[in-house]
Amino acid sequence: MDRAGFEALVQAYGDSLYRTALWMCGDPQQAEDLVQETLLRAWRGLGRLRDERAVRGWLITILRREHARRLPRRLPAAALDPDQLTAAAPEPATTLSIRAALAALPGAQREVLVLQLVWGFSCAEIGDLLGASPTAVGTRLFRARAALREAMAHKKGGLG
Amino acid sequence: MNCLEFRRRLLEDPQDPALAAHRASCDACRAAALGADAFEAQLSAALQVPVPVGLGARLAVAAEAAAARRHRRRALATGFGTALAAAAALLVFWLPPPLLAAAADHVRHEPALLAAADRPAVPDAELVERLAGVGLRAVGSLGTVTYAGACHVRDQDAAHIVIDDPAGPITLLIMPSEPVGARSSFQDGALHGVLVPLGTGSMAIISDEPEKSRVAASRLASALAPT
Repeated sequence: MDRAGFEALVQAYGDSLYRTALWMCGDPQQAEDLVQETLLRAWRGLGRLRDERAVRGWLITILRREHARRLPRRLPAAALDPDQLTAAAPEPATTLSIRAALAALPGAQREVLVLQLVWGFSCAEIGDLLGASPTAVGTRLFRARAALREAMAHKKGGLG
Repeated sequence: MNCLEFRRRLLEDPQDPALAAHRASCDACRAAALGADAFEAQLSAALQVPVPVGLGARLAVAAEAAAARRHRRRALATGFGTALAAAAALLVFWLPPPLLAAAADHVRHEPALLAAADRPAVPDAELVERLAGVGLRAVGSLGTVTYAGACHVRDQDAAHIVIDDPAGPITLLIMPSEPVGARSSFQDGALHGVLVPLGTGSMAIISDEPEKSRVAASRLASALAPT
């Protein structure tokens, strides 16, 4: 095994994959397992894939499939537990509030936001990855941001 | 772009360059965009959930362990294979399973892969990689590929591809180490297939209807070429 090559893969994509996995499953230990499995599967076949964008798309595809494969074993959860998404170190209150609102979003809306803002994919690229049209992706993004803004406005109103 | 369209697209993709012109020309929308920029920065920060300390090191250790396990399995398989080969040499009447039956068996034992309709399409890059693994490249459209995996047929490396055809799912088994002389059709239970020569080996096109497999075989044989 080419250890240096694997470590380069971890270095380049490990953090983003972990964040994506955590926003998918909401469980840090399971997220770590998903990342490990994704990188191992990817590493066995990545040798000839040179285009960086294609590599990222492939990693996401493997991660989603691995998550879907494990899904039936998990108890159904309507929303993620925000307590599982926080750091040991203090973070700004706004960050925690938005994170809680993100955790309450439907998974499909949260997923497109992660792909757009963590990975930098365009609507068309997200559509290719999810098997959806760019318009459908745009609609999910619109609804996700609208819901987050409303949640934040409601929170401000409640505090005020 | 009018204000309504601008506000809609601001919630879809605030970084969309197409927003720039209207943003520059409309004071109200520029103010809305500034607010969106601030929210977007907060949103990005919130999505950056903390990564556990030592994650990279743990992943590297896990990879080493997985590689060692694979190495042990291969060594075991090689030893077992040598013993099996010696035993097999003693079986005068032993015959390998016919290729067609092996291909049909393989598909029959992977029924989930035939339920292709609700799967997302496989990314082009993944398909290119899978085809390259069996010495092929696409020179025409295969249609919507919903699964592309590596597999073994009669212990030989092969590629297992499922196409979500309008008429229903079609399975391709590309077997680069199984040469055949000429095209032939076959039926095995409810499965109907066509076996065609392809590159150094052959390709089985399998579906639930003979006509569907025949039409697909003609189309797909010309859509693939050796690398």
